Amino acid sequence: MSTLTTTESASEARFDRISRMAQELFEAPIVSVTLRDRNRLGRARRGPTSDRDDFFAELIMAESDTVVINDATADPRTTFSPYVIGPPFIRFAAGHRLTTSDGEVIGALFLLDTEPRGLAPSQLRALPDLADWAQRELHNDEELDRAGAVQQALLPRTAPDLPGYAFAGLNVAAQGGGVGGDFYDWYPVTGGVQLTLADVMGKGMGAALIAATTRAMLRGVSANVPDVGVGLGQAAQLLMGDLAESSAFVTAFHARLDAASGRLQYADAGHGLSVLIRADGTSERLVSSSLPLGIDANETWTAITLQIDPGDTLISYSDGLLELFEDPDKTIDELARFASRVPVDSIRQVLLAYEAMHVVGDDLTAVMLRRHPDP
Amino acid sequence: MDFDIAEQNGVTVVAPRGRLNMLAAPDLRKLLIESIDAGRAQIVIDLAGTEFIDSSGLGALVGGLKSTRAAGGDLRIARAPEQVATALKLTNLDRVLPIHAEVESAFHD
Repeated sequence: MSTLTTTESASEARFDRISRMAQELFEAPIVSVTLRDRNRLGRARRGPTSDRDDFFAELIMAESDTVVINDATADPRTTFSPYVIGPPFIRFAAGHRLTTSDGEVIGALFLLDTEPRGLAPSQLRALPDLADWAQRELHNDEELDRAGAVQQALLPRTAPDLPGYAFAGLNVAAQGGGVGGDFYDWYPVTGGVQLTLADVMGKGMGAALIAATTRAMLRGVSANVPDVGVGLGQAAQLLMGDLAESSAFVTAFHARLDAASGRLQYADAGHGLSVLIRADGTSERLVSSSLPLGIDANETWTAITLQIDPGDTLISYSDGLLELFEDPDKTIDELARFASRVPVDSIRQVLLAYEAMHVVGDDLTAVMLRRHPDP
Repeated sequence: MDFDIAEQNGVTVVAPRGRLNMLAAPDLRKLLIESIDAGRAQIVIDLAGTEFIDSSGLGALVGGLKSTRAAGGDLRIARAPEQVATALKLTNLDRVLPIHAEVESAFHD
């Protein structure tokens, strides 16, 4: 079973709209937006198209201008086509190719009719306009794909291999399209692991790029600066120019775990959504009064130390998660009810299951860490 | 989103109505810059009609704060409804944008 990604289902709806409008405008029984999907043509990314649509799409893609075939029986391109000689006995075809922003031909928008006919001048002018509209939708999707690729590249590929500890992370794009600036990161440092969850204000390519820069800065700084508060401060200074220019700010939870002792040192920059759930199910919210990055050039962040004991779970999450539970204030209570009793990967699965059941308008990002209970 | 603008005792009061999200935030920013460019850099944002704010909206407020201060003025906020107040408190942005109870007292607290 395959599922449509957010981008695909959004473009589905948009192409349907374009097709419907074309159908009304041209009073044509058949309208198609057909895209070349690598080696074969697919209808608006939905899957295999009809051979009939493939045939006409190829014909139209061959021309850079609008193609109009008033009588398919009389045109050398279509006279011998099985779809003209036989069912559905096409007699009229008109359309325009679709290209990417680089000029690569990727498909066609076209109409078919079973009667020979022509197009009024206004209809003829409308065809390239509709093709342009479809193209712009595609460019939009490409941009989101690129931003999505940037975001995916930010995420760690494997969990840290730290005996005595388990890690899980999740990052789900907001439904309804749009790529946000959320990310989580983890990597080994001397004696343990560095952990970050950050949220760049905004959506789209701009936020994704700032997220990439923030991640790189924090990584670079963490290599040399063990104190997470000092590290965050240095990264903030380096980022100040970029953030001021785009009127952006970044909230972050930045932490360092010492594996042997279970001591977690963390700094919170306006994030405020982290919780330690103890083995006995009680919970402790991790807060600070510090500002996000990019607000005040003089802001400093102070590291706070927390003890993670066997059986304890740390969860840091983005505000998208608040939309999953009936009462945002009760989020921590909800998490505390089950988090200490299941493996971290199961917590992740539960959150994904919740996400699938709700319409979440924001990115959903979370990072989880469990210190294994004593055997 | 709509914006009501009024002058009160030398202070410009901007009252957004609706959702201050990614779509509306640039409009607010533009409006604040226009006000500053026209020499009106003492601004109060009356948030009573702002049903919802997200990070873009917060960014517009912070951007406005920086711009007014750079022009020798200031930006204050008043009458934040629950969702907006929560967002400001969660990010600790209420430290730089304290929430005033009334528009009138925002510049006199």
